[in-house]
Amino acid sequence: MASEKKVVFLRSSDGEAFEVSEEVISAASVTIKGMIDEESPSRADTAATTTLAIPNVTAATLSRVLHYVNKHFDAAAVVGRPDDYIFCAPGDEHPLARFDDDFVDVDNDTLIDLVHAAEYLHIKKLFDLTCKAVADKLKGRTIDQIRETFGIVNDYTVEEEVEVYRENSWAF
Amino acid sequence: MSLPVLMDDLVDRIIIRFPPEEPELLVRASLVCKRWCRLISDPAFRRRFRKLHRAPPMLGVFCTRHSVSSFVPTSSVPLPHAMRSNWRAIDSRHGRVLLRSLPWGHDFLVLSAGNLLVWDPITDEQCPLPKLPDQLFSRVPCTWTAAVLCAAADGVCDHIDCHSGGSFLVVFMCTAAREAFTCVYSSETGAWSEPTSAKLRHAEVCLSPSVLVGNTLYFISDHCGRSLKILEHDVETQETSLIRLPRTNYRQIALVKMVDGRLGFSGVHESKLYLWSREAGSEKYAGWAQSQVIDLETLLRPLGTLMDSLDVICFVDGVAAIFSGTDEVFAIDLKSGRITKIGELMGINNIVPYMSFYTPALVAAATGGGPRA
Repeated sequence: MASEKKVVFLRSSDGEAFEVSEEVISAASVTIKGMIDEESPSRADTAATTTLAIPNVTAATLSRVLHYVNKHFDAAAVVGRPDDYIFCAPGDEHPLARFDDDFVDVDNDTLIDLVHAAEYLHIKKLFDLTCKAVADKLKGRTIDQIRETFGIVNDYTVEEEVEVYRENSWAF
Repeated sequence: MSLPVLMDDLVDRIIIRFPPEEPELLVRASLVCKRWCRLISDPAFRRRFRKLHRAPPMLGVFCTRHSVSSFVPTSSVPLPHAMRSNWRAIDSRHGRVLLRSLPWGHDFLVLSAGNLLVWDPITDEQCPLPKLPDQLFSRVPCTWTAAVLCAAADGVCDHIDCHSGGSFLVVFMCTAAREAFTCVYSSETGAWSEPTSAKLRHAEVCLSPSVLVGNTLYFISDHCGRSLKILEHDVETQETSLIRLPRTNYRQIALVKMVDGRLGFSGVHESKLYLWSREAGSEKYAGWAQSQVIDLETLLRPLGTLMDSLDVICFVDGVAAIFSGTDEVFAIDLKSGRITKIGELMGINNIVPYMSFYTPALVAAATGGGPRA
């Protein structure tokens, strides 16, 4: 009998369950692969589908994460380009580059939720992408704006601040 | 709107993704608060930063006009020590620059050798090299070039920090009518090796940037300006040979280290950049395959650059390609397609790109006894 594609259900912290291909999510998430491997001896003979609790991720974030995972880790959907590609001319960037750009074009809170989810689920590509997106957001901000964004209190004295400015005047 | 409070290590993971070609971002971030400053000043962070970004950014180029070089920054990084007079940049690799410290009118060997110098532009550390062996000068006229590289092979050293304190080699090569000579300086012995020679016909090495692939250096040879070939020098066995190139219409070629670690070369014809990579196979007769063609007109249209005299000057590993147009020299970022103008073409006869990480060591009072390096 041809084996059907196995699926697993992931239950978010707020109780919503999402269906995802076991193969795809195992390739994407080290954490979930670990959970599935742990479960597998007990489910070898049963037809029951596994439901895994993901206590740290809300439904809103989890659905975004799965959208990303299905795009990036479904082997059938991903079209690669030759490895010896050396020069990226406009218009021929990686096929998923546009998807990635749109994916992280979200508000700060959503983005930070994604960073945390990617870290918890151990999805390296997504963690890299979202951290880079936060770094890009910070690039355009002034020091005061960064403090405000992160709720950080300036603990420099005026003299100390002047010293840093003086030593690194090229950077300002 | 404020971001939820980030955990300490998450701040680290985000800041570490600042692009290395904009080191001012790290300096500014260190002014946010003392905790961030300590994080950024920590040598372990700086090391991880370099490891993550792998390819060092291009901080600028040494532009040689009329045999004298000057530093043209392509980033915001200040290199105060780069203001030198009467010198010419010959090569740069693994954070070091090889200089010829006296001006000379032409590129033929002059008996008063011994004024080659290895230099770290960030620390201004200098290492003058001893005089080259006399035998090299018995067959004039000849052309020469030289390359500087870390003494440890690619697999042994990651070349991230080796320019501060590590040992290096300088490979000097000159070509006469029927022979090519090489001589290697090792910073460990502080001396030049005995010259080795190879019988090669019609080799005329050019004073243009070399490429290091694995443990082999490649130089361009252009016999009488009519026959482009590549000179291959194995640093380990010290063997030198000539590699033929396919027949092409390029006025000028630039050597390329391909993404997969093979040797490649590139040239421009009718506004298109052609990339060729060397096919694996029996080494001596290895063929070439065209691996990519890039329409430069699309890239350069926003710039309004005239296309009729476009040439590729050099490739910077995984970072950029440098071109000369009708009247100016510019670099195109390989990943973003971003164009940086380097300067007027007038009088430029060589370009040596300078790549290095510049992660400023913040000695701010703010570190309060924290790490300083």
